[in-house]
Amino acid sequence: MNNRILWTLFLVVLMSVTQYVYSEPKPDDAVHYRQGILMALGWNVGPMGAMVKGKVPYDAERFRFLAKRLELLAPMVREGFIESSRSAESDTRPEAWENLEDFNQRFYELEKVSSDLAAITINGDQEAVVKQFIATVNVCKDCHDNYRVKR
Amino acid sequence: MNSTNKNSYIWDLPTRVCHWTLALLFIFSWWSGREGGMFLQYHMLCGYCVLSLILFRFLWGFFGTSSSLFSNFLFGPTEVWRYSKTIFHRKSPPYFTHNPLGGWAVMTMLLALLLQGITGLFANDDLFNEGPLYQYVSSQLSDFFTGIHEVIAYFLIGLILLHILVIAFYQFWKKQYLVQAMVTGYLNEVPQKRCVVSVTLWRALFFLVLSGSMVTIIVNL
Repeated sequence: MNNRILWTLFLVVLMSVTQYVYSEPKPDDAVHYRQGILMALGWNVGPMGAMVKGKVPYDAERFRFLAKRLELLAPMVREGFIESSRSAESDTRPEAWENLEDFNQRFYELEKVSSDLAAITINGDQEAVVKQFIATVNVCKDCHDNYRVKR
Repeated sequence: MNSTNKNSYIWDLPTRVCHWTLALLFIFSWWSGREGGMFLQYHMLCGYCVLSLILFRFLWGFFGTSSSLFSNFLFGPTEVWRYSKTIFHRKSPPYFTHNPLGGWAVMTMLLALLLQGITGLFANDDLFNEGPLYQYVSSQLSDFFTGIHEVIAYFLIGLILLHILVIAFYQFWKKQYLVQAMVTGYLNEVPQKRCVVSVTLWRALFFLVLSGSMVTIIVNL
């Protein structure tokens, strides 16, 4: 008898744990997640932009550090666009979900340009770095223009 | 053009320079704003110049030459309505300054440009460009201003296209040579034979420096 209660308890705990482990993230959590990553990207792009514009002196070491972060963050954004978050309230335009292939392609592109940027900051001269930085932010901008809600 | 003795000097040099500089600045602003990214720093410089010129034009509307004074071309609704009824007449009387309808069109454009300049000061591009006063507002408010900035840009394009169409209408249908007037200062066939009451260029320079300094102070707050 005692044994049966223990078994039941064990099963209930096991079920709830597996339920927890395998449950999809909630749609609004997915939105918060990707907004957080995008915010982090912007957070790091800001000082790079200031250096590129000459607002603050160019510091190759710091630029490399920030570029490395972009490279790490870039592949993480896409994960937040889970199917169930399609109709969750966010700044994503419906067109993004309607052209999912193109939308995803932009994230692959972002991964590529930002990883190229990180690579160039290791040996590249400032001119090459700036050129690649511009290519990177243009990927950001093009996607915003197409798939971010108008403000 | 008609013989010179029929022409009246209606637009003083500062007003003409202000007009054409604004036109050039608008074209560059539109282009650089759409390009975005690295071009936005020049877009912003451009915006400061637009703001300075708009401020100048407002000062000039109170303290400038007679044809540029707001009190000489902003008419009440009765006059505007009366003029509107004659707009398609080929022989509607030319005005010494803007006609009653055109005056309000000018004021609309000036106000739209002013609002465009002001919202731009608080705008952001979601990447690495922010207007000089961005730091004084929340990011939501900055986003709001950015949205307004974009809407006004399209509104301005509409206004300017309308402006060009109407000028062409006056030029070719009414034979009032408004383009020449804005280039040379002289308009054909002003009935009253009125000329602009000239004030010295020093006064214009003073107001230009004044408005330029005001904008410089604001953007460096």
